[in-house]
Amino acid sequence: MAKSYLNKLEEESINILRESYVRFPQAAILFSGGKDSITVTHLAIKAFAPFPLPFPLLHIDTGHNFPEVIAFRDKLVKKHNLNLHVAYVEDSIKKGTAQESKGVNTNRNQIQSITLLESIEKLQLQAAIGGARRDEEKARAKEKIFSRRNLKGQWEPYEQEIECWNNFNTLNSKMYHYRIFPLSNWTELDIWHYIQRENIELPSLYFAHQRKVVFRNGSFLANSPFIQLVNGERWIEKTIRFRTLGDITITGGIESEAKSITDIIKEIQILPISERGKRADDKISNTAMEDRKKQGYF
Amino acid sequence: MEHIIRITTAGNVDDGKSTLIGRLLYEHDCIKEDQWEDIGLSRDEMKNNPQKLAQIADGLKSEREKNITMDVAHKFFEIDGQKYMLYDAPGHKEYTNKMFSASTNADILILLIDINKNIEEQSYTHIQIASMLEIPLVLFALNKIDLQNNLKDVLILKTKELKRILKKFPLQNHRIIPISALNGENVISSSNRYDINSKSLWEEIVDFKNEEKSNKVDLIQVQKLYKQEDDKDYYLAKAFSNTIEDNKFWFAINKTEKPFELKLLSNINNQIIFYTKKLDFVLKTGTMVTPKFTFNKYRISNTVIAKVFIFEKNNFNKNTLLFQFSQGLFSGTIKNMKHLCLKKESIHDMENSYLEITLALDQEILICPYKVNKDLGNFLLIDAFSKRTIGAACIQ
Repeated sequence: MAKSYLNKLEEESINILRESYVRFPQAAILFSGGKDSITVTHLAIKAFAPFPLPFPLLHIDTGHNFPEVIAFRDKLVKKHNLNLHVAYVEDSIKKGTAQESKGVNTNRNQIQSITLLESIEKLQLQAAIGGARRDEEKARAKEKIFSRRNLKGQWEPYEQEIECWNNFNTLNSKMYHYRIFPLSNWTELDIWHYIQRENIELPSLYFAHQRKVVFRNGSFLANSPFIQLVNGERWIEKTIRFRTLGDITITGGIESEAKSITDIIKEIQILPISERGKRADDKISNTAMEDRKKQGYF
Repeated sequence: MEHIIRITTAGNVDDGKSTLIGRLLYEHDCIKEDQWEDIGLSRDEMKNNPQKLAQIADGLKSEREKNITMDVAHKFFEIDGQKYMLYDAPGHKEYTNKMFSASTNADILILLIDINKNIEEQSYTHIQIASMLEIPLVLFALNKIDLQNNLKDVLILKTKELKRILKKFPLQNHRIIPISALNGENVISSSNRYDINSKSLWEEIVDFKNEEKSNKVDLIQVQKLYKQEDDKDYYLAKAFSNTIEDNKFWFAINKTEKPFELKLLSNINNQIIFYTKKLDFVLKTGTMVTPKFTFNKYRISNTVIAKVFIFEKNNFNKNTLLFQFSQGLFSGTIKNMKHLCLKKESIHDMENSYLEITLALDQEILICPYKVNKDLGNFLLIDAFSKRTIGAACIQ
């Protein structure tokens, strides 16, 4: 069945992407290989087609990757002849600008903000376009579409400009850096309906598959050289899929038999846990995302 | 499902807005297990502790510490196949600009008013905003009926008072609905009490028909020249019409009297790319383009009459303003200024002022009334020094 609200969301996002280009020609799309950044990239390609995409992709590589995501990224870049910048968290650690914490639950999610800010400076970007959605989390629920960051890259939630209609005031662009969120008003289900409608290709990790995992902090973490077993933990074989994709050490899978997009849509409608409910980086505290955003995360 | 219904909730401080949002999300079972964990209660425990419903409308750290909403939160839910987007707006006077911004795209505004108190200044302000923005439906939720022993008489009085205010600030459509967000009475299903003679708040929302205004105008707005070839120029643009392909010759308003041929290269829900043969001028960002046959239909002028809402008292200096239209950023002079507010004691205090102004811009633009098209009919008032938005306007 045709869903005309998807047309409205698509129109809004394309307008935001084009407005981004008009205001900030030196912008990049933050690409993680997850469904949201893939959807933003798809919309951006569509917004400027048949001409080439005017924005490069920027991938902040924590070094703790799902190999499937990197393979997918490279295939997408080749298919659409995209311009890709990869910035490595490892380089920031080697330079001494980022320090990796120690311990069993440590991850590089927090320090990737440092690498992101360094890349923004290096590439002289005026703005970074991200796939964050307001329905994901309570700090993101407060976000503006054209969200200002101070010159240290920090989110100051009460220093934002109000957004009336589609008339965005970005005149202060010399004082601030911008993060732009074209998917602000999309929900997880909207994304899946749109992926289905547009036949958008995704990494296989989103669909149910057999994998060696360990059950930790309420979710299944994938077997990788970056995870050490502790306190009697053991690797087990499970049929799982991932609902979000990020650093392999913090992205928890869910037990699932959903092998197609139709299955996933049905599954999401009845799942008792929210989309980011299995993300270890969000479980550090009740304000984990808010704190990370204030440090420069998107 | 055709559309997403956008609902803004607003109300004076302590009129029960967070409790109502908590009630709506709780009753519709929109809270997931991990979110209950964050709240620190189970669904069953909430049933016996409705005073904790407000915790569901969770905010940022500082908002929780101060126990107030300081900026708009966006919530999404789907009930019986209809998608809703909720803008949870702050109630404090100093955050009126945020309530205003949250209302600019609203289909429905729920205005919470404590039935046991006088209608306070902030509620007057919210009504002015709803009137100015021509929000299709305003639901006055007269809350805290659980504390009212004389509901029938108080309801008559409050209705009278609201009608008196609405004479001065007319609304497109409104309903007055007594509710108790705390115990849920008349929120989801209608109350069976004899003195509550109305549909429930939720029934009114379900009955709302989101009818897209059919005020299509035959206009294209240039976003940017994107690519130039030897004999062609390609433009990113927005179309406000569905009849682009039917028209061969177009005019650029304010640019030339000479028509030119425009061809469509792509069209995704009215986000278009068009091209022209090489012209002896370039169409700048914001330029309006119209078909030959409608050229005389539009008013081109540098005089704009508009209803304006001013948020900031500190930065308002009518001599240092910039005006941001969809057609571009212009300077100009406010020639006339008439206060439309009910309660303004002093015309020098501009905070949360509702005005009608006559503006003389430094150049002519296409004048499109807000009634005809919201996107073309609005503009922002921006302080030239701080670059902050200090007001917003609807063209009359």
